[in-house]
Parts: sequence; structure tokens; C-alpha cells
Amino acid sequence: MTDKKGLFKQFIFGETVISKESLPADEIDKLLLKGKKIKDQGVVPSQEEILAVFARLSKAWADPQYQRRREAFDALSKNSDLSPEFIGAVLEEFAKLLAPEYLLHKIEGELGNSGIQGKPVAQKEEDIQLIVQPSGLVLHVASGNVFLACIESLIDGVITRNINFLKMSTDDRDFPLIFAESIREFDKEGVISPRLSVIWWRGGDEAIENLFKQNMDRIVFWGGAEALKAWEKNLSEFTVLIRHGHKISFGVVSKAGLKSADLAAVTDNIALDIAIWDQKACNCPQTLFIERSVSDEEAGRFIDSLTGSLKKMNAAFPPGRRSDDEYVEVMKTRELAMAKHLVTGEPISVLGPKTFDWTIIFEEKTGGEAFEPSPLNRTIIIRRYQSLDALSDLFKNHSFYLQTVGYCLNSSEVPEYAVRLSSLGATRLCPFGIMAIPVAGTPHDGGYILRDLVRFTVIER
Amino acid sequence: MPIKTIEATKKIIKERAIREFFTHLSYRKKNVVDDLLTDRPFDFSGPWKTSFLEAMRWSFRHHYANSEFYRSLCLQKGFDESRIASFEDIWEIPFILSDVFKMYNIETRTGDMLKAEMSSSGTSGRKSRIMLNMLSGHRLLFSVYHIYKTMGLVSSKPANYILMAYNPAIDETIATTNSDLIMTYLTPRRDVFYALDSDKEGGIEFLRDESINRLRKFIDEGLPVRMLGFIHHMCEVVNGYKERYGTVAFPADSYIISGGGWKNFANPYGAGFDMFGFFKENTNIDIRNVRDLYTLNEHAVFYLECERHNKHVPNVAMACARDPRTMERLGYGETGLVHLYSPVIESCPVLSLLTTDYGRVEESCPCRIGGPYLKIIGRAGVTKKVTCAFTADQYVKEGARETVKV
Repeated sequence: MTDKKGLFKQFIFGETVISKESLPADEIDKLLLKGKKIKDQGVVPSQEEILAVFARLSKAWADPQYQRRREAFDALSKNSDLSPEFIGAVLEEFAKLLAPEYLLHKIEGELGNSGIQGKPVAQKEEDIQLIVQPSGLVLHVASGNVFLACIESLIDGVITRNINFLKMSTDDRDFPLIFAESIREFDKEGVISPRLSVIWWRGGDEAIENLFKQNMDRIVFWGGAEALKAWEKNLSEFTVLIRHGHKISFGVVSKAGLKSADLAAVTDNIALDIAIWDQKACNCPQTLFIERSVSDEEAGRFIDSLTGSLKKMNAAFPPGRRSDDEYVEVMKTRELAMAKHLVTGEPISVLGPKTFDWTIIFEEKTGGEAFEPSPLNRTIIIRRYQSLDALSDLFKNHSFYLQTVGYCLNSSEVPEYAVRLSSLGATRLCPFGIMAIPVAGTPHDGGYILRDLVRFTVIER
Repeated sequence: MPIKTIEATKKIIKERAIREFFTHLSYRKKNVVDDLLTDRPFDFSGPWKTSFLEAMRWSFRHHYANSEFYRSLCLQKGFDESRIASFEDIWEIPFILSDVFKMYNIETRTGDMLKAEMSSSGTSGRKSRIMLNMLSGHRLLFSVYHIYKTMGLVSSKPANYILMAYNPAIDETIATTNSDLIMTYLTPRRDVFYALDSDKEGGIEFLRDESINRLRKFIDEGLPVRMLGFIHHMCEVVNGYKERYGTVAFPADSYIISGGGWKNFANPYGAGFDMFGFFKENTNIDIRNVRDLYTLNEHAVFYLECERHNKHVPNVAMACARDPRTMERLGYGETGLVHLYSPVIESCPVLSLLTTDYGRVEESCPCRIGGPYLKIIGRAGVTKKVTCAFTADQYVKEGARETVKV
């Protein structure tokens, strides 16, 4: 964060530090030494102490007039590409993510027992107990597309009682600092904030990044492929890289599912999944597959309804700012779809306003073709699928990248689809409307995030 | 006709077309489009607007009648010939996006039995392909010759050529090879060397050392040297030469003309690279003789830089920039997507071509040639923003196979 005078703001173990530029490698080295010292002292706050701070934080952030919430809104409106309407809606929900009951639910879901941190807990097997300890020093590397992701990652690091460093994304160097200062405000006892640093350096600075790679117990990476490759290099043998790299999600609509569903409600939910985070989150759908046995008339009604839903979504949550390149990518996708229609004669509809706010590309007959990602920014490619087998074939070369599958299926179909798509690589199936809003305590990218941040010790008798 | 014979015939047609054209420097004119092709390629005075309008109208009528693709596109946009009533209406002629030619082979019927295929170098992934009939090829050659002549690059003095381009033996369809080959006819040719050839595995090999040796030989001969093609390879050769022999002392009247494959070989000679500074520092060449050429495989018009390094729009074309957010036409000096118009190609409906390059059009160059010129800023599309969503550029990277080794 730079203020009006061009000074640079960071949060270092509970202190707000203002400097002319980001910290050089030798200062980072000192920072990491201090972190190690804190770790070596072996004083770990209890879960109860941590949750007490979060209770106060949650109450404060629930108040629209809370000064830091207003600061966050202003900063995000200015710096992030998302619309103010969307940012406001996210901040409205933010307090819930901080509530102790939510966090306890998460701990219980992911670690198996809400009381397991620092205390042995008996298991089903006789004479077996498990105890969970923090892994130690954790660096969270933020991506710029979903401003909440790094905050949630940081919260995960805090509730697992680690010493946390957050490397802010270049696109958002305000909200994490505002949140860190908010923690300090409600942490008079110094439970969390002296174990927390929020810093920034230009990504790719090898001297700094190598220090973290050599000194962290865990590095939680969020972001795209190129940056991930850089973080994979030169890791110490003690450092575990937790990879949340680029992923792809899609939706599936079966004939039986559509028949039993409220069409308007389904398309409203799909529109939400497409529009949330302007589709830049890994769990937003890029393609929708409609079962071929859905008649042309039914499919037409579905498209009409989705068009209406996207228009409504646009009115409630206008799209955020985009770069010229992003506009060009959407335009290219539209033009290439139209060219495909003209060359092949296949019925392909390209729908959407001239402003490129949203785009539907409905390839009415296409099936069995290679899967293609969308240019994002509320662009959904809709294709047909002949059968579950055929759908599976489309993704067999991309299984590593698969993540969330949103569905409109008949409840009796869900198990079969779940077995097939999970065996293919999908890590989550959910009804439309919550693709980017996972349930607390459930796995992400096929694993439990909290488990990655702790050590389990088994006690046998 | 057996395929091999057809391919051989195509090649003969192309080579013969080039050779014959440069023997007579003329071709058989056919319609109003040819009225635009004169020995004054930057003359926008007098009846030019009327001539260009007539040529575009003819071209539109021809492609509308003979390209099902283009007719369907126009029908979809509710556009027909009646909409081209005035010069200003030309800007509204429906465009085809240049990327479409990377996906599909789209032709316009001309009645020609054989056409020459032209493809892009494919340095950004996919190659675009278009077909050129003889008339379109002749127009291209005529236009190129007079553009270079007006720019002062046609000479009766023999020159040696180093082409940073693919040897036609690898793929004689590649447009950069062809455009570089055409340029070797602008002077009597002493020797022509291609720096890119096929390797044992069927890939492309950059003959760096051989290029340096050849440059040394050409410099020793003392005839003007013309180095044409990809900037990356030119710089590599200049660097290699300098390491061995010191500053490159080009003979008088030498030229460096870069072009083709955009700047996709990237670092260290990619976007932002100071080409003129590089040649100034490492060679003795007069920077006025270093020119960049902007041309696209899908658009048979050459936008060659003048001595002031502005890419002039010849009078066989019109250009504008479009706002990528609205597709509205922008004014002079405003940056957007470059949109090019030209009636010269008969065998492919590219009379209105929207490129994926950012640039702007300036109204009038202060050089002796004058007239509008282009400033090309860079390639558009594929955002560099970090996102955890799997993106199209990632998809290309995951699936792409490296076929060109440089």
C-alpha cells in the first residue's frame, strides 16, 4: 500500500511499518529470523484465545459503518477490477467468515474434531489418539483475481495457530493490510497480530523468494501457472509447497435435471456462478454442457431464461473493469464462434450486448469436441453432450486441472455423475448457485486446506 | 491432376509470376480496383477518394457474390452494397477478424484454376492461410514495387541478401519468406542466403554461424547488403558478428528491413526493444536505412517505414483504429485495434480486416512522402493478469507442441 506521499505500508509482526519502498532481501532475512525466534520460543496461542479475537472481529465487520470495512470498500473499489456493487456484497458476507461458529465448523470438518488442536483426542480405534500441532512458519502467496482468497488463506493459517506471512498481490495491496490492522485493533492481548506479517515485494524477486523457500514450513500458493512454476524451484527439503494453481470448472445440465427443476431459479443460479468474481475464480464455470436428449425447444427456453438471468445479474452486479486485452479476448471468441457457424453451417448462437458485458455462445449441435476454455468475463460456452461417457471423454486430457462441477441433475443421477466425474479428476460437485461459495469444512482442490497447515501426531498405547 | 503436380505447378506459378512481373513491371489490369494501382502509391489527391470508393464497392460486390462465408456474414449484419453510398461508408463494411484465417480456409471464387497458398509464419501458435490468385499476386507485386520505389529502395546496383526467413524449400507458402523474396527483386540480386532452414528432425534451424560467415563474405565483397526478416535473428547475427569481428561495417547503401512474425521471439528483442538503438550501437548503418515493415498474411498491403520510421498507408488501403471496448472507430492519434481495408485481393474476402494488433493512425507524416501512417503498438489479447482460473492462453500452452526451434 502506498499513501498519498508515495510511502509504502506493510504490517510486520503487529507493527505498521512505513517505508519508501518494499523491504530488501536483508530486511526480509531479519524478518524471517524473528519469525523463527517466535517459533522456537514454542509459545502457541490456544484455539479459544484465537477464536475470541475472531468473535470481536466478526461483530465489527458485520457493521456497515465499521471504519475499516468502509476503508476496505473504498480501497477495493479503487484498486480491484470488480464493481462496487459486488465488493459491497462480498463485504456484507465477510463477517460470517470470521464468526467463531463458522471457524469451528471448518476446523471440525477439516481436522475431524474441533478440539484436536493441542489436545489429544481419542479416535474410533481403541487406544489411538491424535493431536494436531501447527506446522510453524507459513507463507501465503496471494493471487489478484479473488481478493478474499488470500484473506481466507490467512485465516486458515491463523486458526491453525501458525506464524503467518502474507505476500500481497500487486493488484490488492490494501485490503490485507486493513484486515491485519483490524486484527490488531481487536487483539489487545497480542494473540494473533505479533505472529502475523503482511508484506509485498515484486513477484519473481529470486533473492527474497529463495529466503522464503528456504525458511518456511509451508508455502500456500494461490494463482496462475507461471508464478507456480517459479515457486516450485529451489524449495528446501523442509518446505512443503501447497499448490492452488490454475483450475477449470464447468456445469452440466441433464434432461431429467432440467425437467424436475424450476428453470428460472436454475438459470439465476447459473448466472450467479458465471458473474461472481467476474468468472475469474477457478470454481466459476467456463462451459455448460446440456444433455443432447434435451429437445431443441427446451434448450431454447433454457437459453432464453439464462439470457434473462444474465441481464438481471448485470443490473444487480455490473461487470467490473476490464483491460483492453480482456475485451479483445471476448470479441475474438464471439467472432470465431460466428465464423465456425458460417463455415460449418452448425447452428451456433452468439448472444450478448455490444458492450461485451456478458456472452453466451450456444453450440446447439456440437458434441464430442475438444473442450475449450472461455475468455472469462462472464462468457459462457454452452455445448451438448451425448452421454456421461462422452462428457467424460472431453475432459480426460485435462483431469489434473478439473475442479468444480456445477449441476442441474435429477437427485437420482447425482451419484452416478459424481462417481464418474470424480474419477476423472473433478474435486467438487455442487448444485448451481454455490460453485464459488464452498461449504465450510469441505475439501478444496481435492484436499483439506487446514490439514496441509498442521502436523498430526498419533499417540498409541 | 496428381497432388505433387499441383504443388509443383503452384510453385512454378508463384515463381513465374514474380519473375515475369519484375521483368515487365506491369500486369494485365482487369477492373476498377486496378485503377488504384499507379506508380504514385502515396498520392491521395484528386479523384483518389472516388477511385477507392469504386474499387471497394467493386470488391464488396465480388466477394458478396462469390464468397458464401462473406455473404452470410453480411446478411447476418444486414449489410449489402446499397450501404456503401459514400466514401465514409467504407468504414462500415463488415470485417473478418484476422484470427478467423488461422482457423478456417476461406476463399472467394475467381475462376482461376490454380492459386498460390500463402501462410503466416505461425510464430504465435497457429498459422493463417489464404489463397492468392494470379491477379491478386500481380497487384501485390505492383504495389510493393512502387511503394519501395517511392521510398527510394529500388536500385539498379546489385546487392547481396541475407533473409532472416524460412528457406522456401521448407515451406514455400510462408508469407514472410515470400515478402522477403519479393524484396530481393528490388535490386539486381548477387547472392541470397536464407538464415532459417530445416534440421534433421524436421524442425526449423537458425543458421546463426553460417549467417555470420555469409555476412562477413558479403561485407568483404563491398556490394550493398540487405538484411531482411525477423528482428530476433538479425540481432543475433549482428551480436555474433560483433563478437568475432567487431562493429558491423555495412557497405554503403545497405538496408535492414525487419518484419514478419511480429516480435514473438520475445526477449531480449521483443516488445520495448530499441531496434534503432541496437543497430546504431553495433553497426555503422545509417538509421534511416533501418526500416520496419508491417504486413499481414491476410492483407496484401505493405506498410513500410519511411526515413522517419513511420509506417505509411499506401493508397490501395485505408486504416483506422477501433476501440476494443465498443468497436467504435477512433480518430487520428487514438490507440485501438488496427482495422485495415483494401480491395486488392480478389481470391479471399479480406477487403475489411480487423487485426489483433494495437496501433494508431496518424494523419500526416512530415516526411517528403506525407500522408497517413500507422504506429503499431503490439499484439492484443490474452490478458497477463494472474488468475487461478485456467485460461485460454494456458490451454494453448498445455496443448501446443513446439515445432519451431530457434
